[in-house]
Amino acid sequence: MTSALLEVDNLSIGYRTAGGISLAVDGVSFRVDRGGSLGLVGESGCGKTTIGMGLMGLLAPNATIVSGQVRFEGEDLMTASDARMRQIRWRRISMIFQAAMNALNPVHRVQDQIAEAIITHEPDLSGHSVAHRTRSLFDLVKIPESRLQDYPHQFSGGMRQRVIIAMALACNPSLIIADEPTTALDVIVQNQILSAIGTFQEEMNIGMIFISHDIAVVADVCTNIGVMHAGSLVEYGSRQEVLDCPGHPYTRMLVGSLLTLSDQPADLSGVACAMGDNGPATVEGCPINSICPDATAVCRRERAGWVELSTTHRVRCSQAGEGR
Amino acid sequence: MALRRFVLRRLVEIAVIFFVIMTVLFILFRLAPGDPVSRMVDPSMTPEDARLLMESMGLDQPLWTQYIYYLKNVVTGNMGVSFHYGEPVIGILMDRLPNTILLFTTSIILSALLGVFLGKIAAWRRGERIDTLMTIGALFCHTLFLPWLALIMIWFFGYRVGWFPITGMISPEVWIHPDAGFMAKALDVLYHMVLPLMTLVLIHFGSYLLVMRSSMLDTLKDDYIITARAKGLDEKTIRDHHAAPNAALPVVTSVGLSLAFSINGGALTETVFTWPGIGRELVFSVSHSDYPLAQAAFLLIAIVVLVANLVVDVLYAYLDPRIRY
Amino acid sequence: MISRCRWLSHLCLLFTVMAIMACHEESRSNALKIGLAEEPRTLNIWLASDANSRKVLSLIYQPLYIYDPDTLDLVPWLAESMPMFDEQNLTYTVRLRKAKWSDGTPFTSLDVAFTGRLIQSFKVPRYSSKWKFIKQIETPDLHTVVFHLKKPMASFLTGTLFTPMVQEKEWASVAEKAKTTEKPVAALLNHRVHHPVGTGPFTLEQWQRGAFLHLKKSSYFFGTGKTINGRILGPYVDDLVYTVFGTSDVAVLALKKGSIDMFWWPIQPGYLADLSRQADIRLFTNEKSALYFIGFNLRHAPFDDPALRRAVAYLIDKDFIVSRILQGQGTKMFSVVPAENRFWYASDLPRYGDGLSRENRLKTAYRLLSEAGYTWTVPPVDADGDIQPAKAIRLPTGQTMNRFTILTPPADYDPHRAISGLMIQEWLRDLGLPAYARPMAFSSLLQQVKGNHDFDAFILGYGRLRLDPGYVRNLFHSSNDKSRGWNMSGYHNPAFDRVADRSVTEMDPGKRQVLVKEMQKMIARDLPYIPLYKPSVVEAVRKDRFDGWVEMLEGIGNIWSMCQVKPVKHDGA
Repeated sequence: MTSALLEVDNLSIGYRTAGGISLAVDGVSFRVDRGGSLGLVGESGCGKTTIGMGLMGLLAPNATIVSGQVRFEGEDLMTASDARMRQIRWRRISMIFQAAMNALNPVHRVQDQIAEAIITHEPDLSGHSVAHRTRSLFDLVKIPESRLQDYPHQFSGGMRQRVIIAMALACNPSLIIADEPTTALDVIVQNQILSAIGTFQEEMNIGMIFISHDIAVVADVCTNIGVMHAGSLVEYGSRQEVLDCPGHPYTRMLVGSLLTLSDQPADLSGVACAMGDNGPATVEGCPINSICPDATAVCRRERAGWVELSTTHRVRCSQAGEGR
Repeated sequence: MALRRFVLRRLVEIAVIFFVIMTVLFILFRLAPGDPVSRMVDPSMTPEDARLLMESMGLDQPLWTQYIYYLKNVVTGNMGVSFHYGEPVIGILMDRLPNTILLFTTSIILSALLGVFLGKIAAWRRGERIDTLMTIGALFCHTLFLPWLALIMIWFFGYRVGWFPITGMISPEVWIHPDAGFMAKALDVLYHMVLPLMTLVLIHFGSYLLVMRSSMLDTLKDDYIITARAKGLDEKTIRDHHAAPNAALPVVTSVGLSLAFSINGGALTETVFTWPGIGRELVFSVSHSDYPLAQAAFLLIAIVVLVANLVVDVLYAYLDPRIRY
Repeated sequence: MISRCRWLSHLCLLFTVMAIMACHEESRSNALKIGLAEEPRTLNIWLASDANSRKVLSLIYQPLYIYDPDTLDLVPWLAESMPMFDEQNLTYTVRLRKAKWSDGTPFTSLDVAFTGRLIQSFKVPRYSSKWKFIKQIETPDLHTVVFHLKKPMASFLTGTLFTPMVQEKEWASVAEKAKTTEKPVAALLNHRVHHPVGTGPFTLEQWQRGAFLHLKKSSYFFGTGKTINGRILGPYVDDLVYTVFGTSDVAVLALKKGSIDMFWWPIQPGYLADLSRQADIRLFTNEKSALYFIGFNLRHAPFDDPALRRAVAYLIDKDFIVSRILQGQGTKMFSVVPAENRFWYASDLPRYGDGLSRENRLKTAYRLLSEAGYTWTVPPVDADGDIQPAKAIRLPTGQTMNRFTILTPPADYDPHRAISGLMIQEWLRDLGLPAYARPMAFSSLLQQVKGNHDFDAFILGYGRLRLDPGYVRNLFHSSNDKSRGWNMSGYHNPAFDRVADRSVTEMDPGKRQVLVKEMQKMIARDLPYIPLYKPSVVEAVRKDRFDGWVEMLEGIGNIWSMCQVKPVKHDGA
């Protein structure tokens, strides 16, 4: 096992609402190794993006970290000052944003936007070196240099996403948080982008958190997978373990949807409904007890604790490990 | 070149609109009650004198002849001779135009800069006391009655503490002086500009502030602001370099159009400050039925507004790379 | 933070510079600084129709005769003596002073003849009618002019002789060129004059358009050092500087601050209290040659009846108008000729209702109308002689009187006339007359009254009546009752026409005076117009700077003042 790059322990993030704080992320723990990759899968709204933003210290003003510990390269990010956080951002942890977002500023040339990230963190670099690095980044993501001068709107969706990847790599970060980087792209482009991300991640030995609602995508690029539901991790393990023997009924549904592609798609609507407005469950017991085929009286009464299926694979379900 | 085609098409449109405006102007002035002579005559004047006066202005001709003559004048660029000045109206207007442009362009640019600057801060510190203060202040200044404010400014700064000249654009003392050089004269004009500028900026910066503030608030919700934060940029850079340029685009439009309308000079401002610009000429020519002068003044304004619209469109394309024609 | 400090320090520096400049402005020059309400439009004497151009040109171009400030008699100006009339040959002979143009060349009879012929041949508007009855201008020598008249014309003495004289040298080539154009008059009027050459006390030094106009003392002025009409003429100031003020508020501030020495424009009553408290300001109140009146449409009912017009005259309380609406800055009028025009004014006219109480006015008017056959459902005066609200007045024909309107200019144009209209409406309603005062944009009002004759009654005024009473004929002669003609009332009186026609050609001032008074009497009897009031003109000057102002009709802004004003001697200066 390699050394831990990022350790998240019992992280809870809540949003302040009129009725008090409502938890969007509830006691999540995971770790990412140097050069390793973790995929966070779950329905939209289950709190995966909030985790990403929480790690960067970029939560919305009405969100707050309720509890938990985040250690990045041995440093406690929860107690880091704003100035320190600014240094860490992009230089150490960068992000690849959702493809559907306007992540690039429309009034600046893409080259300037990339250069800006470099200059901010390496102010001593000469203009020449900055330009050189920008060019090689474009090379890396296979965009012709001639388009450095272009504005974001002049690129197609896939190219724009590659610019964003180039930008994320600009400062040689040790961790990249990729948040739905391929959503809204068509399948072919999606594959190109995914393979590009996978390549860089491995070649440059960058740790990665890959956030997606699509377990198939996560399965493609990640060594570890965490399945999230309603703000909590419900299953965590290596890719193999989670895909081959999912321990949690929810994971089984997700994996089922992946495997039954050729057949009838799995019906997930019940899951969505059970989650109500996608927020963390407030009902007692296991959040999916109403749709879980294996639900027992215990499930309806209380939430299950973690069950270790192996040293690397754990599940949060009272039925898990009891054989089926 | 798509841009060139766009500009050409717009120029044709402008020409058509211009012709319509020209005709409407002619008709409007002739329909308006009163004529130039009725103000010049008194009962000691014989009817013959009044007739001679009408004749000297070409007003004895039938309307059609007058209209053809007017069209001919416009096409040849000679807009006729003012009834009261007895000079070509083009010359009169060109005399006044620089004064108006100097004062109003400066004031609009200053108030836009101030409005953008303050609006940016207000949006950035939304909900804080400074935001409330600036928003209320902007609304307050915006609703001030211009002539009233102008008089208060003149009374206080011009009379009470006496820092600035009361009105006008230059002081005879300075200009009559035989040794007065260009610098002295330029400074003198600048010195006279302070009060009207302050008044205009006070009145106008508020609307820019409010436009900028709301536009900035929208911009701050945009995704690229998150990108900028994630990049570890400091807040000032995010505000000034990423949010403000995008937020300022609507301000640019309104500045462009204000610039166009500024050449009518705010008749009120020019009157109170006795600023020798187009606005005062406009008021004078309309109230004295000086048709050639009034027509030319309005046409000039029409042209500038039309062209400014075009320029704003082109400028917008330059500022916002997403827009191409 | 540092950048903010720098900003502040820049601002401080700027203000310091401004303050220094402000001090610099305080240094006093010896120029007489005159404030105008509007910029002069032109220096072409033939075009100048606005009061402000004339305020400049009247100091440059001079006529043969001017008015005495006290008596309003003729005073020889460019002329040396009074004109000599030869009744037999119908000629006037005028001897000229030895005067010089501002370019140093002598002023001669040839210039006078040139001016006259220029006006005649170009039919120069405003002047043409004063010269067209002159058959011939003879110049027996360089200092004598003989005018041959086609027919006797009273306006020779009051019009022709007041024409400003221009220099042949300056205008001959202009006239030649103008004659070759399509529209000679327009070409003459639109000729741009850069350096007017006149015989007056001042010459143009510089005109910075839109900013100021600078006149300098003329070294060739014929009057300098001479005693004319008992006054030793200057000018005693070297420079006149005219500046413009867009609003009276600002001009008054400039006067108080000392930026100008005189505001050549009437001061509104609202400023008087403040100005009279200023130690350095002196106010002059003078009468105007003006006429403000209510006029009637005599072409149809109800005002075709002189009895009704007379009743209205009784109802109007002119004292109230002058004391309350004009705030005392004016005088009531009883003739269409202002009382200050002493020679022509008829003082023995009926003064309807003058001095009566409101109740007595009403009773008199009621009696007058009852006698004329008017009836009421409820009369304004009951059987016991007490006042009561009147209802439904009927014409002598038995018809109910229709509502009628009194058109006035709007309050923003002239509050006095607008409010007077409202007051008159109320007074007329006391009698049961269905009067409605209606303010109307000035141009529309003129169109309606003068152009279309579509009105019942109107309130108008002339702020600058000439002293020559020729306008009395113009206003009421039946031949002027046409669209755009001066007889707006539609007054037709053959007897008046006859007297008026005679007054035009009566050369003997004494005989003409009798005729003009006779005309005033007829108007006062028939009342096509009821004269109301004329406002006074109040002007303000800095008394710590100049004195010696000459007051006359229309105020202190006159050529006499400009030839007499002297800087005040300060102690030690």
